[in-house]
Amino acid sequence: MATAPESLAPALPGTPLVKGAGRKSLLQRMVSNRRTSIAGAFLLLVAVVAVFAPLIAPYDYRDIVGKPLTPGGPLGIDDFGRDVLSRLLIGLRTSLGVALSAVLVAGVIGVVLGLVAGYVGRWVSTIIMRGIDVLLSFPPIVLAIAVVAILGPALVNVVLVIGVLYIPRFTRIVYSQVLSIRSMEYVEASEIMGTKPADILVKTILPNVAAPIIVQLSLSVSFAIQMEAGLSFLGLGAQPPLPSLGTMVGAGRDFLEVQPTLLIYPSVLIILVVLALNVFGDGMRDLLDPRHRT
Amino acid sequence: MRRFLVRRFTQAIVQLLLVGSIVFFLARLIPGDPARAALGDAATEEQVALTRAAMHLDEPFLGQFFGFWVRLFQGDLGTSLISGRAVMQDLPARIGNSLELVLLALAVSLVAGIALGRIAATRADKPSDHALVAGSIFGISLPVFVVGTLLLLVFAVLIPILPPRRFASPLDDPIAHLQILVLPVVTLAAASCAVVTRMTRAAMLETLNADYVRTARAKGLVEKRVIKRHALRTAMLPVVSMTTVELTTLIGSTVLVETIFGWPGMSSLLMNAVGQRDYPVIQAVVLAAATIVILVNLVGDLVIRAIDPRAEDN
Amino acid sequence: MAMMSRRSFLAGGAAALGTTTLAACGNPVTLPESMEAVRPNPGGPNRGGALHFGLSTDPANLDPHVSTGSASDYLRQLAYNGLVQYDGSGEIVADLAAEFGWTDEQTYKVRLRPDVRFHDGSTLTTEDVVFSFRRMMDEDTAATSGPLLDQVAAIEAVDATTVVFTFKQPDVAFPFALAAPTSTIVSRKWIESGANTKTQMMGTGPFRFVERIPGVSTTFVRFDDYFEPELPYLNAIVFQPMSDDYARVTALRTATVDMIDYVPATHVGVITGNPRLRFASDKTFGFGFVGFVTSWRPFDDVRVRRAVAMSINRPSVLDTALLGNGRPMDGALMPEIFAPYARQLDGSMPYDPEQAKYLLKQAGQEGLTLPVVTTSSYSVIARPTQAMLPGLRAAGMNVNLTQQEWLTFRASVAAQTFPVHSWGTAPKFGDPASLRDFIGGTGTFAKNLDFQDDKIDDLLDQGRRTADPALRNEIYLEAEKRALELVPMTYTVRREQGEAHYHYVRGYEHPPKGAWTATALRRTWMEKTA
Repeated sequence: MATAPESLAPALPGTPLVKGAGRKSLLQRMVSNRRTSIAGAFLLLVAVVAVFAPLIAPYDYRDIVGKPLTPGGPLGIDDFGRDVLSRLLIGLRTSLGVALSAVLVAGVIGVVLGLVAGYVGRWVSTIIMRGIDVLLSFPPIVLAIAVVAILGPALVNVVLVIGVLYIPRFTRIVYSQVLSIRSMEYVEASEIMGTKPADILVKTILPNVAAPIIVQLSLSVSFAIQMEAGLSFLGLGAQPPLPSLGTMVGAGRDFLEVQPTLLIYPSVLIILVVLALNVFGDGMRDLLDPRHRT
Repeated sequence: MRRFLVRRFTQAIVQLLLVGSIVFFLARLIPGDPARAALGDAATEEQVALTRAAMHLDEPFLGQFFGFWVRLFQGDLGTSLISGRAVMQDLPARIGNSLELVLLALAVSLVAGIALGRIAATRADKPSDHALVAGSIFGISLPVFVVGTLLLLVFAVLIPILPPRRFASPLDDPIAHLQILVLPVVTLAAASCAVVTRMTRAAMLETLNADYVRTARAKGLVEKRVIKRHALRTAMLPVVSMTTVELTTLIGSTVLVETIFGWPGMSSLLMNAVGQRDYPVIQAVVLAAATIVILVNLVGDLVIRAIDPRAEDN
Repeated sequence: MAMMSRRSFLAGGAAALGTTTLAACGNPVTLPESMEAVRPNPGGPNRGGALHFGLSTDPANLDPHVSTGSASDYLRQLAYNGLVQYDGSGEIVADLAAEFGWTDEQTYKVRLRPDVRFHDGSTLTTEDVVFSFRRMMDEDTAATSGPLLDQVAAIEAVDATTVVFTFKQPDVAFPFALAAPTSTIVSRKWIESGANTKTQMMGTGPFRFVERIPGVSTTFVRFDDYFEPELPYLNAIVFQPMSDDYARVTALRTATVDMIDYVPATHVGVITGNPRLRFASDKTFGFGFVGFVTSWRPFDDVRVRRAVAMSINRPSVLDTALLGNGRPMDGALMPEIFAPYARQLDGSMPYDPEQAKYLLKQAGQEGLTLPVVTTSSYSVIARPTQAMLPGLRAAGMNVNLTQQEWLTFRASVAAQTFPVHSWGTAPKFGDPASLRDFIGGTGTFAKNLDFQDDKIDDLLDQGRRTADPALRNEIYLEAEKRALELVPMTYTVRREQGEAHYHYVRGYEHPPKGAWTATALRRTWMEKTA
């Protein structure tokens, strides 16, 4: 479960350095980049499928629909006689749901903390940023295991713990952006003109930090999916009969030689979604990174 | 320099204190009485009272807090509620085993990753670069437990060339010891290696385009020497900071890898304790892991400072 | 504590071990090669070697009288002996006893073997035997055999080698109580010296306890002064906890261990298909059940309990959860190999979701939500539980399933934290008298259910007093019928349960009938090392 450092910002080969592309709209530029647009389209598809999973799934994910461990149905039947496709769809929905909620928790708290620390400065920023350092001192999955073990294995606890663990990613980015933007003339000007600090934060600074936040969101979701899968694999995430991609991988191990697809399908799905998120995040960074936009 | 050292060490100490306090409060997160939670609802009042005393829960809150620190400085990390063993009896060896795995994986991923990253950067935009970049982003996207499960099946069961034999102490049988380590190290190193490749590539590309490199090139230096002399060395800085980040990640991932391969590291201690609600052991493992991360970051910062005195702290 | 064990271990005089044996604190014990080596012995079992055993749980409580599951029995029966034991065919034979038996209907006499030594060198006395049984009968011990000894009025040492049990009333089941894995004999001196019985073991058994490293290994070495000549053949047995099914089976297949317990149903095919492995199992004892806290609304209503019982599609549970490795249980709890009446009850609990719906409607509980707790530690329990869910939903019920780790689960069940639990276990011994544990008012499992029925208790008491087989058969048939009417618990499937080992591991037999016992491990030997 690789946690990419924040500075992981290499331009992918083939990604045009978007010099002078500033006039085109973001969407136009996205579409013009094949890799990013394919990843984006795939993610859109995944999102739609996840949202409508219960409607799309041919069967109820809990129902016995055939003889266990046989190839029946579109993707086979699992060891409990349930339809694998239906379970994959619901599993995808569970995993994405957990990851998105967790990142949303992290994003909201992290951005607010970063804005406050960057804008107010002084001891407030010291407290916040040292707190962030402390949070970063815990190896994420170790702390997650401990907290979930203490609070009990439940999806809401997984969301909370991943959410808290990912706060630093957002706080640090926003903090450094705010610091650099604050010193810019137009922000100083609006301060002199007596605009309220809250207004400055929301109207001037927030739009400027939006780009890196979006990039971080998509990368964080990819790590959150892996983290959820890892916790579920250890039995600390989704509880049966509700599937998540991680629990499906864990359960599939027992039938690796009888019906390897039980392990392969959820694994491939995790890899594809994470891959798409990474490619998309990278592409977005190239498009949005101010260093590349000048 | 001295100011930097003082600041950096103070920061590390403050972090340790805060981490310790968080770990102390972790056990207080437990809904209800931790002693009762540990023993289960069927325990008698006397048993609960004994456990409360063993966990120092019968003392006033501030007393608990300071007692926790006093015992910590005496090297007392508490006693397992389940086995009655002092945590310190097991923890050092387990952490040692985990670190062995983690450091080997780190070494493998750094060596391989830097080599691959260098190849990619010097052939930027050529097919081999594209392949490496695609490969590394794929590697980052592989969940460690999927890789581990598949490696175990293939190399231990189907084509048994690397059987995960019994634990052999490195002193008694170093070769067997390394043999057992191959699969977990490869599993652990895979994702890390991908990250290192990407970062090395990015850092080298940036320096290769930097002005002084262009100057050196203009002065007629052979391309190979340019790479060696200038680009690679400057690229080492991010590699060092990357090392510290990767170490943190690896210390986390090792929990999953150890579980899959049955490596007697901190994971066996942690997962066992998690299942049995053995809170003192959970606390001790979390505290130890976090302490290692803080120390790794401290050393990393010192090294960066030593390589590049201009580097700002943080 | 580890230091102490190590010192006493070395002082114990295992010269063969030299000084290099035990690895650093917390690391798995590494045995010297001399211990792993097997010495051929033409005309008899080979000597030496160390058996590596992948165990499904890491028994945390080593107390000689408290069982936390069959895994803990393996350990206990290596370090301790009982007065009697089950042999390879399930008959009760001598262990520490030289002679044993009823002298009249209410008196049982045991004469001890002479010259039995404890691991600390002291000699076994009748005083130790009396002390051990009093400890088991003391409620504070919470001994597993405690309830089996409730008819014992007194236990006395009549001379230096003889112990006499006297009874409140005749008790046909008493020999089974004596043979139970938890009816072990301890040293009075050792216990009274304040030894920690949870973390240390010191008995008369063929193997001495060396050290338990939580989550890593528990090691036993040969006790040279063991009273049975020749035994044990092995130098050492090392247990490695492997709670994950996949990990345990993989460890066996890669010869990391020589033997494993609890072969998961999902891997029976892989094991039996491997010519180098032997699967030693039975389909008789282990079974799954769903228990109801009968004082918890609405499960105090027998119609609701019956509705749940009738919504369990047992053949389907067997086919999915256990991949057919077992038998569905729609009648008696006791298997017919020791309960001749059992067949008469077959089919008493059919799968009938429509009838279940009707019963729920009558009880005013349509669309009932069941909070169910089970354990994730054993797939033989967790999987059948999952497999029941479709049937329950077909009858319009929702299930809120909570999975807990084994020890936590047992605590939740004992404390009745959930109104319904799904568990799996086995009768304590091979006689219908063991029904009392499940449906008798003082039974260990019945207590979890707040279940007590005068009529059943009366029948069980009669059965225990009655020696005539035909009469006993009728009595227990009645008791089981009544239990099927009242449904304090409903039985689901009998599971195939067994151990798997390489063919070079010899002399091990899965308990064939009677009760769960692990004494076969005392007689195990190795043809060669892995």
